[in-house]
Amino acid sequence: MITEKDLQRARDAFTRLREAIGTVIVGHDTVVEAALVALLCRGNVLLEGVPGLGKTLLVRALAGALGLRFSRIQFTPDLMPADIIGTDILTEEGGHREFEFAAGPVFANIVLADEVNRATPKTQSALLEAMQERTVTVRGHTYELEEPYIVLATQNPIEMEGTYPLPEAQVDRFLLKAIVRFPSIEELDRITTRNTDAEGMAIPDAVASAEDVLLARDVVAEIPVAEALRNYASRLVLATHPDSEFAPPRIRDYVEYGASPRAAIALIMAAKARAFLCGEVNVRQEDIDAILEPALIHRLILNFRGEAEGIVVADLLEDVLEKVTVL
Amino acid sequence: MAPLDRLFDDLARRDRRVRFLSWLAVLLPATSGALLILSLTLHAFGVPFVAGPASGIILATVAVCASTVASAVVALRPVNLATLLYRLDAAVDGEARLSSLHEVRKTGSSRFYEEALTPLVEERSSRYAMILRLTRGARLRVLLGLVLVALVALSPWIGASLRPDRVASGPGSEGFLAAPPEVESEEELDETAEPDASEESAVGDEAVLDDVLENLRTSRTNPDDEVVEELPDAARLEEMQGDGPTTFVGFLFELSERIRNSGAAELSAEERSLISEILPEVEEELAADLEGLLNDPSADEAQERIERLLSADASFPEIDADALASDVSGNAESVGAFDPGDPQTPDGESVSPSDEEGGQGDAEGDATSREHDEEGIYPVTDFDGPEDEVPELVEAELPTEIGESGGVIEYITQGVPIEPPEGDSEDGPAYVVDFERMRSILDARTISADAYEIVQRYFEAITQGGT
Repeated sequence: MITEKDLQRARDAFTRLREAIGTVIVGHDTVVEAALVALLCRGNVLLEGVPGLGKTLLVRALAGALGLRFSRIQFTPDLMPADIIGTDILTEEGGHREFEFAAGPVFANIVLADEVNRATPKTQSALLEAMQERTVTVRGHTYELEEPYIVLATQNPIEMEGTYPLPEAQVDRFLLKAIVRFPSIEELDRITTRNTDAEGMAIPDAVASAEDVLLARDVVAEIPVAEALRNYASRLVLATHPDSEFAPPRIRDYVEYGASPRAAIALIMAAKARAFLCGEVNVRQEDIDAILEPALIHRLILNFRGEAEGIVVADLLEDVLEKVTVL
Repeated sequence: MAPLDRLFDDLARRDRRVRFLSWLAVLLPATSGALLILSLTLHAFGVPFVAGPASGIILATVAVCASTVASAVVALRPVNLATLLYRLDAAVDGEARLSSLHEVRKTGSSRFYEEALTPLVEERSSRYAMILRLTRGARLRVLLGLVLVALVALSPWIGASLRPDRVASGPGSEGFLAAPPEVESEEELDETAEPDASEESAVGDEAVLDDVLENLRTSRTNPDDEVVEELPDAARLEEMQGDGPTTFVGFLFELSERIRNSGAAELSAEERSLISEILPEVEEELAADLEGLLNDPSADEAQERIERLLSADASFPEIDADALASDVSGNAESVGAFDPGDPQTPDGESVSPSDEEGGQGDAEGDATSREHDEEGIYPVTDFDGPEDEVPELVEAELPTEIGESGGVIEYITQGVPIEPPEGDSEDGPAYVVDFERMRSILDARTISADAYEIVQRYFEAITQGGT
C-alpha cells in the first residue's frame, strides 16, 4: 500500500526529471510528457518527426536524468534481429567450449530505436517481445529485461523511400505516438543559443533513480478512475470504429479499422499517468481528452479513400472527441 | 453508516425526488390541462361538467395518476449512482473527485486514494447537494400544474356562470338546468307551454323520460341545489307536498296558496278561530301580522304578512292537525274548491270540489263522479280520506272499447294535471297535458326554477310534446 510519503517522493522525482529534461530540450512539452507517461505506464513511445528536431537528444536526456542504462539502435535495412537482441557466441575457456549469450542493445533501461521503419519487418519484430513482455528469447532461453524498461522508437514521416512501415501488430505495442513538430521561432532561438555557446549542450545528471520510477508506477497504478470516465474512454475507442453507433461521419467514411481494446487500456493507463504528472489524485476528463490523440493516432487505419484524400487521423480524433460525451 | 455513505445515499435520494418532481412537473400540467380543455369543450357543447364531490374525485384521480406514473418512471429507470455522481462532479468543478471516491470505495482498490479524496469531497458536499434541486422551469411547470388543477376544480362553477341566460330560451330548447321563461300573459303562457310541432322532435330526442327523472332525482338530492336552498326547510316542503297542513307553518303556506290563486284574502271562520287561538302565544312582532290577517286585508297585504311570518323563522305553537285539516277543507268548500292546480278556480267556473264524503268513500265512485263533471277535467285536489283508504291510483273507465274485451279501465294518479283521454281521436285515447294547470301547481309549490323545468319537461316527455 502506498503512502502519502510515497506519493510525495514520486511526485518530487518526476518534477526534477521534467526540469532536467527541460534544461536540454526546448519546447516539445507534449513529447516529453508522452515519454514520461510511457515510462510510468510500462509503455513504449513512437516518436515521429523529421530529422534534426531533437528526438534522439530527448531520449538521451531522459536516460541521463534517470541515471539509467541507455542504448541506441540505428535501424537500417541490413540490420538483423541478432544485432538487436544479441546472440550466443562460442567461447573457449580452459579447453572447454561453450555458448555464451552476448546481450544486444535491447538489454538496457532506455532503448532508442532510431528510424525503426528502415529495418526489415523481421528485424522490427525482434523488438516485439522486448516491448510487450519485457523479455528476450534466444535459442530457447528467455532473458528478463531490467526495469524500468522503455523503448522509444523514431521514424521519419517524409523519407519513405526504402522504408518498411511498421506492421499493425507492432504499432499497437506502442503505448503512445508523439508527433515531434518543428519548434516555434522563440524555441528555435533558445535552441541555437544553448547549442552554440561555450559550454555547448550537456546531458543532465541523474536526478531520479530507477526506484523512483518503479515507486511512481505503483502510485500511478492505484489512481482511481470514475466509472463514468472509464465508460467514456471505452466509448471513445468504440467511436473510432466505422461500424460503431458512436462513430462520427468521417470515421465511417475514412477509417478501415479502429483502435483495439489495447487502445482502451492505454487510454486509461496514460490518463492516470497524466493525472499524476498534473498533481491530481484521480483521473479527470481532461486527462483522457489530452491523451486521446497520442494514444490512438497510430491505431487507426485509414481506408483507401482516406489515404487517397490525405485524411489526417488527428482530425478524425477531434471529431470523436466532439461526438462522444461523458454522460 | 459512514458519513460518506450517508452522503451518497442522500444524493441518490435527492436525485430520485428531483426526478420524480420533474416528471410530475410534466405530467401534472399535461393531465390537468387536458382535463381543463375537456371540461371547457364539454361546456361548449352544452354538456355540463361534473361538480361537487365528483370533480374532487376526478382531481384526486388525476393527481394520483400523475404521481403514480412519475413514480413508475423513476422506479423503472433507476439512476446509475456513478453517473449521477459524475454529473455532480461536472457541475461543481469537473475534477471527478466525488465519482472517483465512490469508485475507489466500491472497489476497495486503494485505501490511500480514498483517504486522499475524502477531505476534498467533504469540503464540497454542500455544493453537491445544492445542485440536486428542481430547475426554475420545472418549478414553474409544477406551479402551472397546480393552477390548472385549481382551474379544473373551479371549472364547473366557471361553466355555470358562463351558461346562457336561462330566461332567453323556450321550453324544451334549453339545457336541463335552465329555468322556465317568465310568462307575462295568458297568450304568452299558451305559446310557451305548448311546444309547437318543430319542437316536438327535439323534446322527444333530448327529454328522455329516464334522463328527466334522473335529473330530477339529482337536483333533489344535491345539497347545493337551488331547490333546497329556496325552501325554508325540509319540514316545510313536506308540509307543502303532504295531504294537508299539520302545523301552523303549513297552514300559512296553504293560506298563501289559496290567496294567490283566488286573489281574495278573506278568511273563513275556522281560519280566524285558529289564528285567534295562536295569537296570544306568539311573539309581539308576529302577533301584529297575525292580527293584520284578521282585519280583512287586501290580497297583496295578506301575502306580505304571511311572507313576513314565514321568513321570521320563529317556532309557532303546535296546533291540532285535525283542526287544521278540517279548517282547510272547510275553507276550500266555502271559498270554492281550493285547488292550486285548477286555474279556473278564481273565476268560479271550476268544477265543484270533491265532497268530503265522496272523498272518504271508495275511489271508484269518486273517480266516476269526476268523470261526469261537465268540464270533463279531473279536479286535482288532495285526497282527504283516511290514509289507509287512500288509493294511490284512481280507477276510471275510459270511453272506448278494445275489441271484444270491453271497456278500458284506466288508473290515474291523483294530482297529475291531465285531461281525460279523448276517445274520439283517430289514434285512440290520448292524454293532453294542461300546461296552464301544471304551471299553476308548480307555482303554488314554490319549487326551484330548475325543478320547475324538469317537471315541465317530464310532462312534455310523457305526452310527446303535449299531443
